[in-house]
Amino acid sequence: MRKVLPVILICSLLCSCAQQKVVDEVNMAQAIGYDLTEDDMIEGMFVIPIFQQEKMGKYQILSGKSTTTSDVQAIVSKKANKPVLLGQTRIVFFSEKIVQQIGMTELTDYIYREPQLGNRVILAIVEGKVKDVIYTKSPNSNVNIGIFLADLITQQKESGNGPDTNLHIFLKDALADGGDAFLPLLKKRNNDIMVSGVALIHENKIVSKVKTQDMFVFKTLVQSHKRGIYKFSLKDKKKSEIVVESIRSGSSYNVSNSGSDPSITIKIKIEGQVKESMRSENLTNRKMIKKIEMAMKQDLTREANKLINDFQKKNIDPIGLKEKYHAKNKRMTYEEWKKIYPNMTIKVETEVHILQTGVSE
Amino acid sequence: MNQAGVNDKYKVSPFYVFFLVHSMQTGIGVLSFQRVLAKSAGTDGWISIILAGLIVHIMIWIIYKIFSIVPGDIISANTQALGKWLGNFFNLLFIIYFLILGMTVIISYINVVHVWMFEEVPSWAFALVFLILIYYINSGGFRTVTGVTFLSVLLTYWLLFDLIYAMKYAEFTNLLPIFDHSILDILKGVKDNSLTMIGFELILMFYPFIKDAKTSQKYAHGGALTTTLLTVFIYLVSLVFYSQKQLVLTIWPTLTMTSVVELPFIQRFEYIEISWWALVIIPNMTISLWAASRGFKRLFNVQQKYPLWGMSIIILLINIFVFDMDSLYILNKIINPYGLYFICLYLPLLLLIIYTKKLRKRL
Repeated sequence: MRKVLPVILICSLLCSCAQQKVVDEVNMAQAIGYDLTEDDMIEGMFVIPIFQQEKMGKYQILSGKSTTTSDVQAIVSKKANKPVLLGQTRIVFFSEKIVQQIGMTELTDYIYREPQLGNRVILAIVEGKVKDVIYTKSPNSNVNIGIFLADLITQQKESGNGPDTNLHIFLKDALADGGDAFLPLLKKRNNDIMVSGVALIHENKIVSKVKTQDMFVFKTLVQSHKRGIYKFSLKDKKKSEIVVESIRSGSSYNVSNSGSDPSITIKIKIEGQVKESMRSENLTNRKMIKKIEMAMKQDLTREANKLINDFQKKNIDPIGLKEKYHAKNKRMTYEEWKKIYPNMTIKVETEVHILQTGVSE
Repeated sequence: MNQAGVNDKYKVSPFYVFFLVHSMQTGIGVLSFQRVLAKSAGTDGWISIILAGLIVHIMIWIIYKIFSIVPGDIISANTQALGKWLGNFFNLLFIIYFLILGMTVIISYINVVHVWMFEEVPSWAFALVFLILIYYINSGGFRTVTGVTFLSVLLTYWLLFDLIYAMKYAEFTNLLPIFDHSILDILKGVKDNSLTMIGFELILMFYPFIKDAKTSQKYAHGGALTTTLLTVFIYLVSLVFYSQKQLVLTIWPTLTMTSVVELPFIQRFEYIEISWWALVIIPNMTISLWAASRGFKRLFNVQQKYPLWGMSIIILLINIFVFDMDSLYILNKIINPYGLYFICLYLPLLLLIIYTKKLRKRL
């Protein structure tokens, strides 16, 4: 044992074999944006925080052009005093144009292959130029624009109408047959950056968008959620508007087994509370609540039907009906699905329960 | 036969066989078995795992049956059954097999560390540290080896929590359809799944080191059962977490899965998991190298440390001169299918020979 001990001590000499990556000595990108320039090059932008004592939210943006996404990083590092590393990246932006030209699979290859990047990275599509969005000054001066936008999307998916999204969820959908996936859309209007809908991706390209007012229905169709706000108007003379906040919502799918006449029934279930009523009527009245439930039910069913019909017309399947159908019909191939899907009967049944109406009558 | 006799003070209680078998089976395979299995058996992969588990149970039963007739280890069983020359030939094969098993585990782990964490650190640096550690543990004898194994199992089970965390992204329709694949696909899955199942055959070497070895059979079965259940659980979680195509694309599904874990005090949990995985790997390497060197000692009557040195140097040299990817490609080919077929065909045959010999003696 005495002989072994010095050998073990020698092992400590191996400690600094790996290259160190000290926070102060690297440029940690917290957000990355990819744009397509006029001459079809990829322009990458890296939002890098600068750490200084008693100064929060200082950051710099480094950018560079190349033909591949990983090479941009190398080009950018050439311009910087410290190497650019991706370990702390929260969000990656792609412009609409770059997705249409290059394709999501190619763009995400590096991101998925690189072990530095986790699976929780948020991907987002920017309407217009990424450059405009990333160079916008963050309204909250304590955080940089990358963190600000990552928080914006996270906050929207947790308490707003934005569907759950990150690299893992995207790839899970995008790598399946057909590659039907969705990503949040961002847009710069005046000086604000806002969520402007959901981009629907099919076979590598953006094929359609869900508008902001349909996002509640879309979110309910793809996942169960605990928050989310839905505005609709009552179907009577006054057409007064009601806002309902969901407490527990989600949808279940029922697939019929018959091969000749395939059909899917989607059951949407909303449990919510009245957040606001633009009508001076007693809301503790059971009758009134029934009326609101009824109106919301009809409204939701109509909206959902409209959305699904649109999907069928474009032969895209962002809600993942294919997997649900395949689960019951194992012989189904993707080619068959493409044929039956546009003409499939898809019924939507909605159930709305208003659980409470707030603290005032 | 007397040679295999082991002094009582070097023996471990039968209870520890559970840990030895379970720990030896669960190793580097757990990080990556899902991908190959998903390729061949997809949603029915769990059936393959259960079938593989059944085969392991049968093999364990065969091993204990062999030793109930000829007590000792595989070295003495081989020579008794097949005579001096043929027996020793097979003994040599077993020694090489154990050595390759240990080598595969070390190189696979170094490969994981290279890809995920330190791509610039040369393989030999990792290999050197591990080999010194293995030598140190092995120099303490089999009791120390068992102790390390026991600790490793206890210290690594908490890692299961990240599977529960991953369930947040579960999509249970991915489990369906069941029985989507032909029997042939499922059987192919059984074979592909082998790296998470082999390891039980080390009983062949450490059997004489167990007190009341016969009573340890239930613990060996228990260990194998635990491995099977654990593997099924991991596979089911992977199925609901990934979509099929994504699973086939991901080389280390278990590690990629942990990269969604977000804790308030640590952002990238997979680095902890990879480092902690060394604890899972160490007993794997230690036991297989122990078995290989022990076999060598029994065969050639030398002190155990000399073959251990020799084997360590071989592994180190391979790490210096061959890239991980190239050597892994060859090593994995040797283990699966050749090593696998060797174990699964040879052991029943050996039992048959021993059994007929025993019957003839009676006649």
